[in-house]
Amino acid sequence: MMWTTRTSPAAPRAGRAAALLCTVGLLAACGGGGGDAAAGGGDDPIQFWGWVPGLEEQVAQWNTENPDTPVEFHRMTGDDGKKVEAAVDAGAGPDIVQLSTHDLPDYVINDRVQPITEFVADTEDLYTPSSWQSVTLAGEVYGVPQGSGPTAMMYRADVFEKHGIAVPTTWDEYEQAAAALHAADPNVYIAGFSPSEIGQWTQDVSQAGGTYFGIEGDAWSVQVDSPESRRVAERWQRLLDAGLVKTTQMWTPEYWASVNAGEIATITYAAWFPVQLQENVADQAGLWRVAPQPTYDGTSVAGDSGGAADVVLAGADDLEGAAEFLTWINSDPEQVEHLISVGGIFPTALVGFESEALAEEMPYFGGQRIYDVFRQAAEVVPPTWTDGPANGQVDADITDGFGAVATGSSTFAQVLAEADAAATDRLTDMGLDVVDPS
Amino acid sequence: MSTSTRTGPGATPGAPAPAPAATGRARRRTATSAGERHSTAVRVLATGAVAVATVYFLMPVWWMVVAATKSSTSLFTTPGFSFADPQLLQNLRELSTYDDGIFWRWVLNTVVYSVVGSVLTVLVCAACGYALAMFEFRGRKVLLGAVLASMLVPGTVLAQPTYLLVVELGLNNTYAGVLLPSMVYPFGVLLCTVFARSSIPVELLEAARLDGAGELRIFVAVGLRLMTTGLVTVLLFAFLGSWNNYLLPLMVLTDAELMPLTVGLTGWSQASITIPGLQVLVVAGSLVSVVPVIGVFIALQRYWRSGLTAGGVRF
Amino acid sequence: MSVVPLPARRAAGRRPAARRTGGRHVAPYAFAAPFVVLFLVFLVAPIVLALWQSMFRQRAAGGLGFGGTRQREFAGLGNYVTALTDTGFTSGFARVLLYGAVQVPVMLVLALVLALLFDSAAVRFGRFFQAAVFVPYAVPGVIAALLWGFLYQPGVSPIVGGLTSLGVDVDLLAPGTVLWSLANIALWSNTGINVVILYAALQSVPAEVGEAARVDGASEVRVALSIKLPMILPALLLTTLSSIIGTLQLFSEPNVLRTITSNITSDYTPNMAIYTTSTEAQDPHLAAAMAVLLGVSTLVLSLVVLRISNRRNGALA
Repeated sequence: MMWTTRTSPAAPRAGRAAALLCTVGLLAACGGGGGDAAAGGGDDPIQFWGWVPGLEEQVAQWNTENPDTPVEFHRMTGDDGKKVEAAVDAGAGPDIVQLSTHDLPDYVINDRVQPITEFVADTEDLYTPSSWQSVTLAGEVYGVPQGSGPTAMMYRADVFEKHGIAVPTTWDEYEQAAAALHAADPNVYIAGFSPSEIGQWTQDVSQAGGTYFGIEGDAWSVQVDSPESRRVAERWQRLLDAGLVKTTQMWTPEYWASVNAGEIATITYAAWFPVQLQENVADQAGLWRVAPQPTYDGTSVAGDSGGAADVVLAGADDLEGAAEFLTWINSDPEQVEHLISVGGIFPTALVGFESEALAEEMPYFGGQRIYDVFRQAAEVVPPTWTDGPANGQVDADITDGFGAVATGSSTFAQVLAEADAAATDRLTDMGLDVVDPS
Repeated sequence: MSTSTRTGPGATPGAPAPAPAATGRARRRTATSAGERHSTAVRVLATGAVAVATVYFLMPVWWMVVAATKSSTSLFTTPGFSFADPQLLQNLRELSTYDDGIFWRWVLNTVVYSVVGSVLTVLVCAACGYALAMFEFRGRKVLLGAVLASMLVPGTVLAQPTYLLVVELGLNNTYAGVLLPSMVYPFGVLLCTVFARSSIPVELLEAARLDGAGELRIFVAVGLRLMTTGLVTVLLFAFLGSWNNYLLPLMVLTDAELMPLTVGLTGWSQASITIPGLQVLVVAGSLVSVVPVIGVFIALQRYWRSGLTAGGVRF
Repeated sequence: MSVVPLPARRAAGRRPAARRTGGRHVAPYAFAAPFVVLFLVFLVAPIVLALWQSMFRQRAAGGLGFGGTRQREFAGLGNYVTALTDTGFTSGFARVLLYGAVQVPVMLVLALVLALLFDSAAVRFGRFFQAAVFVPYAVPGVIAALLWGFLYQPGVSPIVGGLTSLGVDVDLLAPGTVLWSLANIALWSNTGINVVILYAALQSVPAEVGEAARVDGASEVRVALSIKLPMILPALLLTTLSSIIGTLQLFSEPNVLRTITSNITSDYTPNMAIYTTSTEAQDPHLAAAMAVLLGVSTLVLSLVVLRISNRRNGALA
């Protein structure tokens, strides 16, 4: 099949095809041509796809300061984030893409990324150890960490106060508070349950010391269904069965209407969430506070909903230039400050912890320095989480299953068992070695 | 190839084999003579039934009109079917300036994809249908069979391999990458074949040839002219097909400057989960983009209706 | 804009005899060429490519899979077996068939009734109503799904709100109802085009046909059902086939509604399963096999419908 071989350059073939079509007088857009898209010269700008707000300004600044290594930015909004794999496989992908670190192992196994170890190895000290860990697989570094998602609990101080209920610090207290709140006001729930919000699941599993995958020597272990994840599942199942959480799909108008109506007393989520709350629930300014995520036994421990990294893709030519740009945008103090204050990310670069934006006393949260809570959380995330292959499938299986859990036609435990089995099958199909977790 | 999931011949044509050429133009009845048959009671009942159906069809449109005039804070906090502090102009101004006015670029792109695309599609279909109807040539039967069979192949399932081909041809992220694949419209070819057969007398072509006219000239001056009514029908279907196209441009295009409205507005809608103000712009943008199409449809009503009547539905 | 290639034009400039015979021989090929080229490149080639892809798979050589050990290997029908034993994928088929079995007849009956009413000329302001019925078709599918999404969501929907205030508690996005909420979007979007096609077909039924029956004392309803209906069977067949194909392809609407409800899974319809497999599960080979299966089922179903209607109506053969 001529179109499956990618050894010969695409441009001449495109030229032939275009000429053929022009001959029959068809190609109105001949002049507006596709030639430049296929050409792969060294002077092309580095193509960078990402989603963090404000990256445009940062790229513009880089281009002014580094005219020899121009970068071109493309904002991903939604569905187009899902075409990255197809684009890379077709040879039409960008050079750099912003990626959830959960997806990185798949990219490595499918040869969609290139190691940049030699260009960035000496920058390791600039980032938190866990974030550096998340871009390092089998000794090679594939990208530069851009943000992380340490978790805390946002709560309606006024609601707890009004009903004379103490803000929970452990999960046991949390369940008691859930019952007490709902009894005091049937319209109030301790939390929303959003089956599709996978980050809220992974953060809880991460806090419990669980993971989806493990590496046992030269083989994977699948731990989607583990004692740790079951512990989280049982709590959610109890809350759901007792009708103490409100099932609503996060981010929908319905969800925000529910929060605005005061039906949700706590939202446990990552450090980038408070800004969303502030924007979408502006009327409740001053009523919210942030506390550490409740713990199992009082020992300080927090979850992480997952981080993002900028990785260098298979088609990229200028690895050194790309690595230089990524190091700059993710560790230069001015850039990190911009990422935090405009982009709303929680830093992975150590310099970010000195950021003024993180020290801000926020009026929306009653003047609280909320990022202190998230910073402390980042320090107590268990080191157990390991990203692995087929992460997308596990996420899809879990969110699909949770949808059925919400309507009572399945249980959390059942979903975990099924997703675990499916993941094991998938890894075997991929030709990977899978062993039982040790 | 259309990658939308809409039904109807505009997107996913399917049709039986054409029967021998229609013998002549269909006779039409005048509405008045038939209308006089009905008593007032029947007329009121019939009109009432249609009016109820119309309420159903226009209700979401009404919601859209109302919502497009609201502020983003009142969008979901005020009753959906009634106006609240209308600020349509302000919304339109915001729509025009958001992201450096990219919205109007999308409108322009959509016009290119839909108008240019459907005109080119019609020409391609007309030429092929004309050849199939007016000439005997080797491979004619094979071609006709291929056209018929391909109408039953669902378009969306081909999105991925089509994308690979577009990339291989170096057409990804270009207008051509969206235009060319959507110009493959087998149903259009079939319609054109039927139209050509029923509206172009073979004798007329022979006479033109005897006059010394070239084949191209005959096609343009005689064929296209006589097929006009039918071609407007194909144009309408092709237009709506491209207008509706989502998956293919989503995959093929990267630059926001090249996107059609469907991809652009859906992107905004997906981004609106973190930028709440966008929701109103999505609704206002949808309204702005739907209005001209309805206008075009009504303006062309006379053509496509007689086009369909003249043979499009008589296989 | 020229649609003819150079050879034909050159032939046109020579001696009259050569022009007539030569032109006539080359002309059909030249006229058909643009379509044929596009057809081969953008329809036939993708089909061949999908078939080809579906017979391979990517496998790592054991271990963790890092370090570029991945190889493409021939899978034969392996991907097809995987697809057919995937209960998510197969139940998606069952789901769209159930959906189609209800949605298609409802839509066609509604379209037919409207078309007959318009054709009977008993409706005042016919032109306005016809345009109104067609308006939804001008709303692109993804936008239509967004609009209806707003009308389905409890808490923001005026419809749900209105019903609740009347004491009717509805959840239009519940597991049992969401399929019919999807069907409603398709009904809303596509009825218009079917009315247009059926109405046009009715208009081409010669007036005398009905008159004769009326003279014999047949009622208007009887004329419609036993005289007009049989005469527009071809158009009805066309709309049925289009609707069935559209049903099996169902994608945009559920994909959009998925953002507001978790009762639509990532493999809710076959086409969504294909999309999810190629994006989330990152297996283009399995996705290609699923696409081929969907294509073949559509073809088979269409042929079955054609066969049935041929048996009923010999005129179509």
